[in-house]
Amino acid sequence: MIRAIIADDEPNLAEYLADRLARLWPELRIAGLAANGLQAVELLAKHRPTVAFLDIKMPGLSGLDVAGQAVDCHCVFVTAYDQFAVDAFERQAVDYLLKPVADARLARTIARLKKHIAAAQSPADLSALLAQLQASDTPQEKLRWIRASVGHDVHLIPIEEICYFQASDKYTAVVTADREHLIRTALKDLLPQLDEADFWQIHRSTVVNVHMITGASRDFSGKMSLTLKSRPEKLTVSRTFANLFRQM
Amino acid sequence: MKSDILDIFPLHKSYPRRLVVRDIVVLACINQMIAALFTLLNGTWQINLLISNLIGAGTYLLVHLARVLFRPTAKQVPAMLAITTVSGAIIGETLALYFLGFLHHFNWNAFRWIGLCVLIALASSGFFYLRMRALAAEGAYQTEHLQKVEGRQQLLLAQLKLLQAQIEPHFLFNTLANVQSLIARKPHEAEHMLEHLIDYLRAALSRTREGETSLEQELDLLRHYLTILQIRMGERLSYSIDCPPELLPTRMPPMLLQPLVENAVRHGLEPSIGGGSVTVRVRQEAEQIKVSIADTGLGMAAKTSGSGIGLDNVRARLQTLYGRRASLMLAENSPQGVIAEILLPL
Repeated sequence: MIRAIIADDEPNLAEYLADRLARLWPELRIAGLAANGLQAVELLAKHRPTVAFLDIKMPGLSGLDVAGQAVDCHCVFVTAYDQFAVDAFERQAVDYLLKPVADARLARTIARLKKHIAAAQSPADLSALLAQLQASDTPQEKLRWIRASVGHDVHLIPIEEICYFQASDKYTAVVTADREHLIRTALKDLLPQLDEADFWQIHRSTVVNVHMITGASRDFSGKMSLTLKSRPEKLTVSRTFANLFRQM
Repeated sequence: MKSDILDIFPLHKSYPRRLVVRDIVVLACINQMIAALFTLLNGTWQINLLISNLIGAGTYLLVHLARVLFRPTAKQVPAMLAITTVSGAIIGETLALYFLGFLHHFNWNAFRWIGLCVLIALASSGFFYLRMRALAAEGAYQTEHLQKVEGRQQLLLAQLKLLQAQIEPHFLFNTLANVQSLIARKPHEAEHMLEHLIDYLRAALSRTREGETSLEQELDLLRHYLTILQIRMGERLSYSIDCPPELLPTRMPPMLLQPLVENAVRHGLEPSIGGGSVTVRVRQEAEQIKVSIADTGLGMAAKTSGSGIGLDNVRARLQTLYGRRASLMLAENSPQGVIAEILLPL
């Protein structure tokens, strides 16, 4: 008796797939339907199925993460639209289904699975695939928002709107075109989380958004200062960091 | 044709010495060949030699005399060449006859050959000129045509990108899959969802062309979208849309609110195991309309990458259309989730 589980956050789709499998593969017993990644892992542990149909986008753990935890189980990924993942599946010869699933396609997948199982073939090693997909899936380490309190609210400031950061004691001033926010993170802790292509440190206590710079000038003593878009003040560039601007 | 001539004989510019040397060499060869040809046809080689070289040299000198005296522009060169070559031929022939002492036997017969050559030259020049013109015209047409095609392609591409952004493929295919799944077991629900999808698509697609819509239509669009998602997500999504009736006819740019709602669902609620709710609220504040879209989902992780694009687009459009008079603000919702607020001038 071959057991399978189906994981999809939309119950309609999970049930429908179960119905069609019952029709096209009567010998298959659907042991359970999972509505999210965590439930899927539970079902994997409880029933130890031979086959798992995993929706990729699920709350909790993604289908890929669940597959990473599957042991002795043939995994078939299901997705509505994900060209990147599909390309990876094709390259790694991993089985997948596109929603809405066409009968012919499902039949082919079933035939393939039957063959693998009959030959007692161990399930494909997904580690290469997972490494590839999950690496790109990991959100970039760089900040996209700064959380700043404004009265009782916590505003989310997109990084592109920030003109510069200015350190002040343990706090950092986050300066945008309209206003200044104070956040608790120290500048030195912020710096590694900022994209170096967009933010340059020009002074021990100042980090500027490169895209906001409109010009650089030197005064008679050789001190360099920057003019910014939509801010009246000029920023001083310390000698230590001045070589960044040599190309300007 | 003009450019061809001027590439070989740049008579509209100063004439470099090495080109003169080249010309003399080529001219000398041609002249002797013509003489040889005529000798084969009739006459003695000495006479033909003299005539041919005189005509050749004379014409050449005349061309350069004209170049120096009249300084023709690129456009004038062909005309100048035509005049000087013909006159040069005539003058050259006359001189030759004079030196040979044939001038008193003068009759126009001698010019027969010249006349023939000139006619052939004119005919072939005319032919090539017209051909060049035709090719140039065709080239220009093709370039213009290509530009038009490219322009249309770019426009189509832009429209397509806009469409893709507006009708998110995940949403479309997942919804269709849902409709498919319901047809056999719950056909009424399938019909229901399909109706909403059709209404949503119709509304979303028509927005790519219109520059303006009403708040009422925008909210209808949101309603279709959220209804579809509610059928799909079941308990994991609830929503409400709250707008005072007098604000409904307000004119506004299309597809400003939809990306915010889409974000709320895709990034806030769909990844949340328990789901949550989306609340759309419209209020008037002084001379502005405030639309706030709040969700009780996962909130914005500081490093989320995907959600930025739709918002950037909205922000950019607001900036372009209204400058400082409109704004988009994001804040954390309590106890969790995100509030997006758009302020538009009335």
